[in-house]
Amino acid sequence: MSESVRTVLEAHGVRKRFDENQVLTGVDLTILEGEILMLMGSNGAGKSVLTSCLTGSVRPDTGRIELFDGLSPRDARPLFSIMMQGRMADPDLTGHENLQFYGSLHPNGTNSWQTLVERLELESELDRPVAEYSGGMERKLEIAITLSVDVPLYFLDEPTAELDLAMIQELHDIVLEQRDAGKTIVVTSHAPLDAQIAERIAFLRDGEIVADGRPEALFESVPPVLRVRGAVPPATSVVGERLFQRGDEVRGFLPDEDALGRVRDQVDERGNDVLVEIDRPSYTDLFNYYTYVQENARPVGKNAVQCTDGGQ
Amino acid sequence: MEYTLPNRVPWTRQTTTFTRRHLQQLSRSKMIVFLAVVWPVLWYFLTMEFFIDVPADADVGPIKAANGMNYGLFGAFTVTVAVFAGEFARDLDGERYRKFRTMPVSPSADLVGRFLAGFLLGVGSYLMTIGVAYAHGGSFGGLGVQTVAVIALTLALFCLIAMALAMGLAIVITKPEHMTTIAVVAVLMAFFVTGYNGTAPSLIAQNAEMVNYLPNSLATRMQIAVWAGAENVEFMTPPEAPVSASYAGILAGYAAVLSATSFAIIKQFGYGGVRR
Repeated sequence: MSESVRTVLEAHGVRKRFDENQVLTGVDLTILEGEILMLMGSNGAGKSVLTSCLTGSVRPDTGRIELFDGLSPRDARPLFSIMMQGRMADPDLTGHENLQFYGSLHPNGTNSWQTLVERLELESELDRPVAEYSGGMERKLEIAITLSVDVPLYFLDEPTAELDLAMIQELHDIVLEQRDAGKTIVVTSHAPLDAQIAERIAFLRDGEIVADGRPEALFESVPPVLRVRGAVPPATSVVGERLFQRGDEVRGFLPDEDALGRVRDQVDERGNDVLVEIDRPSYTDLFNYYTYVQENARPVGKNAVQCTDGGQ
Repeated sequence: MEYTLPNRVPWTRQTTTFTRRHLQQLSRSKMIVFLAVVWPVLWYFLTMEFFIDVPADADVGPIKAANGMNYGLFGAFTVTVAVFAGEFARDLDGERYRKFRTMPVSPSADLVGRFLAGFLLGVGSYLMTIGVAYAHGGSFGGLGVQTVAVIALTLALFCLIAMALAMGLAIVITKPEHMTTIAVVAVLMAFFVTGYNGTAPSLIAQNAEMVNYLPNSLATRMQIAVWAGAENVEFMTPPEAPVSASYAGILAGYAAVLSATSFAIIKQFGYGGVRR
């Protein structure tokens, strides 16, 4: 990405509280034209509330949000389209009637939903009431409603939730095609699998962006990944005292590569199938590190981990 | 890439989109079909058979016509309340307004679209009951321009009252599944408290004059007096039959206030994001 890439959204100091719950504690975020930005975080991190604020659905308590060279979210509404998980489709209408309803209300509604529902294998279900849909079918309908509007900026809130693996791959292809067509796409997710299509990832934790950068740069900042099979190392041996089970193995983050020897000493390797080694970090490790482990996380602009590789 | 703000979808198209959505929803609701078709006709026949005592030598034609109008309006009122209360509460409860707020949609198009759907259903229900009363021997007056205007005004006002009442209920009661029942109970209460929507003011112990000022009873009494003929409505006097322009002015005032109230509710709680 060159330095001349335009900004389509800038948010500064966005804070939002619901009753006693401070959901967003001061988010700064910039979205660049033509990128796929993955907004990641655990359940309850504030991803949906943040996208709601960015799109004008929820009014932040404080902060400034500008889209497309100075437009407020309200004024910019004809220029973006948002998928909101479980908050769009009317259960009493059929899938087709829902598509017709939303398409008719937007000035840039198109018939591209026909191709989308075909690719998402929803075509044969469109005449059934949405009340009879499974969660995955409803997600597909929401995706088709959102992406059939021809706008430069899309927000997809947890689009892969409840989709099977084949459909997740299909959706990834659709998102990449949109990016190739010059669109900007913001995706929220807590599924590491989704990070594979990201050109930039921003991690949201406790209502703040704690890390923001290109995936390769974020990977470089992840400490050595410990992989143990056949035994469980003491939690005190890893960063943040946090271990993660993945299949038949346990993973964690070492303070440095020298720590591997100490873990080996602590784990009984005399057993037949005990394995203790350093592994390459996966997207799941990346997610776990920035979401649960990274101790010195600070919001962007306040000593946050801001990982760039010179490309931004 | 240059970004140009597209023109919004015209207001009228937004309105018809909302109207179509609600008619599609309602066409699948057995409860709404029951309230629109069976409910007022049932009450009409119950009243004619059991609730009123007609002397043997009396001309029952105007009484049947009056009851047809009364229950026609009652049915329109019931169905509009049920439509509005249920659908608006469901959209609030389902958080669909979170999506609507991100779209270039006019709140007034949403409101008017909903109203037209309820009104169309209400008119259908009204005409059905009038037709039944006519077939049962009800004698209605002629349909001059003034009579048609009064019928349209009073029917529209009834639906406006229903809309405002329903939207008020929807923001107070957060369980949409109970809304239809609560709405019907509210309609029945209004019906009985005002002496069958003002057609039997003798049932009201004190201040029976209020039936010429409360919106539901005033609208009913005005329509009956104009269409059945003021000389044929002794059964609902005193107070006097409200046929003067000043009463029409009161109805117009109610229409303005109730429309403004409904718009304020949808703007605040729907598009303003104010939580219930």
